[in-house]
Amino acid sequence: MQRTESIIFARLTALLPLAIFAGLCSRVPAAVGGGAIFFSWDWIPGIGVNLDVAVDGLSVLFGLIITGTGVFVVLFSADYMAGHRYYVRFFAFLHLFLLSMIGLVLADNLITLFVFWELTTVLSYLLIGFDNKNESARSHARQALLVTGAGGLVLLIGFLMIGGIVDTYRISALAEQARLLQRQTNYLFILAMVLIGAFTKSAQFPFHFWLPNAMAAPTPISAFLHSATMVKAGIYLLARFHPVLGGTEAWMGTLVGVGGVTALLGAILAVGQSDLKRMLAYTTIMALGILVMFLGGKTTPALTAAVTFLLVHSLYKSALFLVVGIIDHETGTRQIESIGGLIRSMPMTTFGAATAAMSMAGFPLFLGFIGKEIMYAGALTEEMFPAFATTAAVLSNALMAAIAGIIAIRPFLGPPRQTPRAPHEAPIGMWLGPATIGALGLVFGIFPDWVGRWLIQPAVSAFHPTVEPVQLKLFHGFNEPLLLSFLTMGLGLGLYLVRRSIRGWLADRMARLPVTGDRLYEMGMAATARTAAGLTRFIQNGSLHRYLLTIIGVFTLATAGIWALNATTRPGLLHLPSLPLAQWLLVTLMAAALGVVVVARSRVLAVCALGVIGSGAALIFLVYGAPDLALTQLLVETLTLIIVAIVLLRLPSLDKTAGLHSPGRWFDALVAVGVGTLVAALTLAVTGGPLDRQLTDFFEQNSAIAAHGRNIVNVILVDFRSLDTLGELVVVATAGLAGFSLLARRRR
Amino acid sequence: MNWILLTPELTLLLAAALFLVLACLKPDPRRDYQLAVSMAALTVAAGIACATMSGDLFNHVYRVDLFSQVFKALLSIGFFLVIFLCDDFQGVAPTHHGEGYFLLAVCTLSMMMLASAVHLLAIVLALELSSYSLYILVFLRRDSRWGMITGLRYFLVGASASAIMLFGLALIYGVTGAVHVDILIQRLPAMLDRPMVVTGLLLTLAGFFFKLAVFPFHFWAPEAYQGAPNPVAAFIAAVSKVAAVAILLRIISLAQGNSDLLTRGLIAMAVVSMTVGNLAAIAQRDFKRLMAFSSVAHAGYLLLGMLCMTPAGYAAAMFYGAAVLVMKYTCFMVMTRVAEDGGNLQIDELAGLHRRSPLLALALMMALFSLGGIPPTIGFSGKLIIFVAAMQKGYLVLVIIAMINVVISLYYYLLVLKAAYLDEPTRPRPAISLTIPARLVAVVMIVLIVGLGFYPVALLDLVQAAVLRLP
Amino acid sequence: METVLALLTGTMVAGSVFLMLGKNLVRFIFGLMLASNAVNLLIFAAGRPDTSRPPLIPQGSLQPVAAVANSLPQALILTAIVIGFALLAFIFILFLRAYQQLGTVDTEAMTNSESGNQDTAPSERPRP
Repeated sequence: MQRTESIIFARLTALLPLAIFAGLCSRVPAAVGGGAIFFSWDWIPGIGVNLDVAVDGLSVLFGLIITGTGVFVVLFSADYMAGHRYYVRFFAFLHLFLLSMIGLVLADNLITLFVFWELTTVLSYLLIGFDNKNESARSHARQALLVTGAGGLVLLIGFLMIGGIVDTYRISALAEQARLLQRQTNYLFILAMVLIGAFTKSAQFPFHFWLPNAMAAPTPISAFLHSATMVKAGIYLLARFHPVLGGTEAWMGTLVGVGGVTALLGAILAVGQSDLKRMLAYTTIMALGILVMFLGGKTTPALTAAVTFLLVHSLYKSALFLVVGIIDHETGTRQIESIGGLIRSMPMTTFGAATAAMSMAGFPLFLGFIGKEIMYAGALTEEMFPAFATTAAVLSNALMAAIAGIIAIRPFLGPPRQTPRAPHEAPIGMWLGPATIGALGLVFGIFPDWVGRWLIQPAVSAFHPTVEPVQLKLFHGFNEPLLLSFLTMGLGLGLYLVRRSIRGWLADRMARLPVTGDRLYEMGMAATARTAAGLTRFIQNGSLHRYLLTIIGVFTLATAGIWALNATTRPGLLHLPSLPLAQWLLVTLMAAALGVVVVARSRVLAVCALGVIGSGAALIFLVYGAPDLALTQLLVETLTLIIVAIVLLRLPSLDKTAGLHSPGRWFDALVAVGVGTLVAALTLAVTGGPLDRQLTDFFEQNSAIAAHGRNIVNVILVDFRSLDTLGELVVVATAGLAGFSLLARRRR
Repeated sequence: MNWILLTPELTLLLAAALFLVLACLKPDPRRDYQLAVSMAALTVAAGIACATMSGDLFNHVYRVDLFSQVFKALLSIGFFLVIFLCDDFQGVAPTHHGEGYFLLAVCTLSMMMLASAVHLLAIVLALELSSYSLYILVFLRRDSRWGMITGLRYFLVGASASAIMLFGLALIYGVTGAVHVDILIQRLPAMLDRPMVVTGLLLTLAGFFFKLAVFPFHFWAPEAYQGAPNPVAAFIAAVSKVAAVAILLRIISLAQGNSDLLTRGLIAMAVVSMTVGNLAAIAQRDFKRLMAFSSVAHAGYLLLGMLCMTPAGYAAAMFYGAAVLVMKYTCFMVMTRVAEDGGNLQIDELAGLHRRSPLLALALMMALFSLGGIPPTIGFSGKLIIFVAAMQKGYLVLVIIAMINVVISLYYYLLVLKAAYLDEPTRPRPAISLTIPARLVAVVMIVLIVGLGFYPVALLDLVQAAVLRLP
Repeated sequence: METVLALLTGTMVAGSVFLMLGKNLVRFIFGLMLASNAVNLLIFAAGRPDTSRPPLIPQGSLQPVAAVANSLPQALILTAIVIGFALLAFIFILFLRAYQQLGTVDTEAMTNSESGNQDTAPSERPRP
């Protein structure tokens, strides 16, 4: 009972996309007129990032696709996911995704667009990993997020650079600046950043591998994210940037080349699959390749082909995915060879599958046919590599026709087979989607000029202000595209007939491919992990000696570097001052004591030598007018030595570690001498210059007047710098407390 | 002298005194905790109430202005959050809880002084005081062998950093004859092309780099985090970074934006920190170690903002400092709640967290996304602001390097997230029960992470106004 | 005198670095003591010691009558000496405790042997 209620509630949430759909529909007439409306809210105005929204033909078309399929996907999921442990969470994510996707296509600010872009990535991660009992689902979710997330960050670099050049993040303001951007010396770099972002999202070669792997997601998610909406975000981006970065040879060459290769690769790989869902995934890659290829053109037919095929593909592919979802749900398998004769038990599903497949194969009267015609027209007018584009289009379409056959004929016709579950028709919420969307392909195919006028034309003109109007017709007369259509049908039929042997051959070949994107990803990840581990073991190896050496080394080299690069004065010969003999003796004594400390094997000897050095310092203070210092130094030195003596008695002797007993110690000695030399040189350089005594003068002038003290040092300490003295006391107190606490712990 | 200006510091001093008394009394963890939380709350109130005060104290040694007060407010909030986390102070023996609170208070106090001090000697004092309290806090670990080893090594690296810093200070004094920030500001700009000044500044910065865990002063971080009791690790990772940002901004701004040499040095450290931190983090299995290396990487991002030496860059660094406080604290909060008996936590022990405590799992997810710079989180807006500031200065290559680093970091944040959200534990573990206040804090952290991601303007305006107090 | 002080400081720093790199806690203490003395001398040198007259103001006068020694570095050093002492006292106790707890003064032996090597490559995901 509770289950039914939650299903009903889940179905009701479809009202959200429905409402947005209706809202967007109301914008269609305005979009036809070429009008766009803008809204803007402040977001981070300090850096030019605002919540800018633009609604034009392109965003309306994408928005309608997103919300339209969204409604059916929600309805479908209500039954498909019924009883799932995280049913509510699933719908929350799904709707959040839908909203982010809408945000993405409506955003008119590069940064805002990027935010939604990454949001879709994150939600896709959560949705792919949803079936989290499955280890492969989990790793694939991570792979998808890593590839597309990283691509997104690359995209952000491009966006920031564009923003830096044109001084705005408004997308609608970019087209005017196209010439400025394309003249930049780093235009190619910006282009590469944007394209990598789009290619990773839209699964273009060589980033295509994540998409089939993402099929671990629940099927409605695959239908929605990985065929109709999220993967189209890259396409949307390319269309949006067509007037900004497009039209150059680099743009056209890259898009046609990458798109064509992706299309062929996707089509070939699709035929080699036996899992229905993976097969669909590869045909999606193929379709995305074709879309990219056509966005590489700059003629009206090419761009119209892209937009038309976008609509065609979204319709049939989401329908087919949902059909596969139904088959999986009702029979318990998606292996193509183990299902058959489903038409008897699932008539409505069969209807959806058949209409969608016919649109996919490009049968006349279906929208797919129109799409194919215009595609050939577009391919023939491509500016770069028209022959390649046409060949790729024909081959892909032929393969697509064959696959449509495989998907729509095999499982439904022929004798019924034994499946894990006895097949029966799915609940209405599930078959409604594929049936409606499939039928829509037929309706649109019959009234192509209607689609052309209301949907395609506004979308194309939003990013390609055309002179010639877009023409979608059922029959264009006998021309090259029609001939190519016949060729495609023939090829497709042939391929369908020999599908088994091709599949076997391809599967065999694919298994032996030396390099695949997936494997490269694996290798890259493993290499990164190994490098990281190696680096960490090297730097953070746990040896304190190594740490200290690194710290000292870095700072010595940095200092030496600063001086080597900027030395303005050459060091002259040292002028040793004429000091009284006693002072020379003192200094010599201190140096000798230092030597003793360094090499002493006996603790007592070392401590005595340290005492000599400390007292020597005190004497120096005394001689040079600092009796207070001398006194303090002597006092502290004595205290220190007493403590040292007490502590040392409890510590082991030094015998084994004295002197230069190993090559490592020689190296340490070298470092030590280097640092010492540097310190001496720096001190010499500092004391060689004049000293600004303004501050000292201030104290000398004011200590008697302002603080009534005659000992200037004391006045500084207790009056002018009283806080330091206070802090000093706190430090001493804390150290004492800490020491006490440490000792006390021992007693307990 | 206007003592009102010192309200946050005096509150903390009072708290420290109280904690000291507690340390001498018979230990009673519950009473100690309640008192500590109340005092910490009082500090937050004081910190926020005094946020807009300004004035000069102690003969211009101690400056109270918007810059210092914003940092103090952040510090007091961080102090409160960490104290709040101490309801699970299991890493420390009950007899030492009083001492722990005392040291946390003293450390926060000294960090507040660090934010306000404008005299080099006062800065050194405040820095040493905060370092010493931290060393001892690490020692407080109940498993004393661990605390001892890591604390000792922490101290040894810290001592070398202090020595280098003192040397740098001596050089600066030797060249300029000044030890007061105001006078340095007048004298330094004319001397910035002198290698001696740059050397002095760079060496002086060493002490603060140590606090921020910038390469090559990061060595202590993974060990200290691992060895410290969990709330203390949270304190080091989240709160002490805020103070480091404050003082680094104070010192770097002395160059007033026109030191090529210094910039180059900072660039090198930023790049190396990011790269070493992120690469090393990949190899970690222990949650705290991973967070430590992620801190090293974040130190790099923070430096990236600072080395722009523009108000925009300083504001970006300050904003990101606040972001680090929120993100890191959230991670450690989750970690402390999940770890058993106050021990350390391996990443795979997070498995099944989303079922054991959906709230903590959500908090961890948002914090990790934020650390990884995924919108709409505070980490994203912070990084964006930093990158934009760097782009304005034309540091394109730097931004690209930082981006690559963000991508690398995604790899290991996702490993953690996968463990928490997608993996199933090998053996069933009980649900984690949270008290109502603990839930409330978790919710507040999530709201902060997402809220400041969506609406960073309020905080951004505040830090922009604050950095205007810098020269 | 600055020249001589500079050379002396350099030598002391060299000795202190050598001792600190010595992997022995006792030597590390010696190194730190040397370093703290060296820094004091350095600050002193930076104040340009050129006269032996202490910075005192004679009775009946509001300012020093003749050139006196630079008072500012002296104030700095006084603070430094005291802090250095506090620091050293703390370190002694610290090291003593460390020795008692760990039974060694070899800094290289003080690693978390029981936690094993933390830094290993995470196992990559199983192939699908």
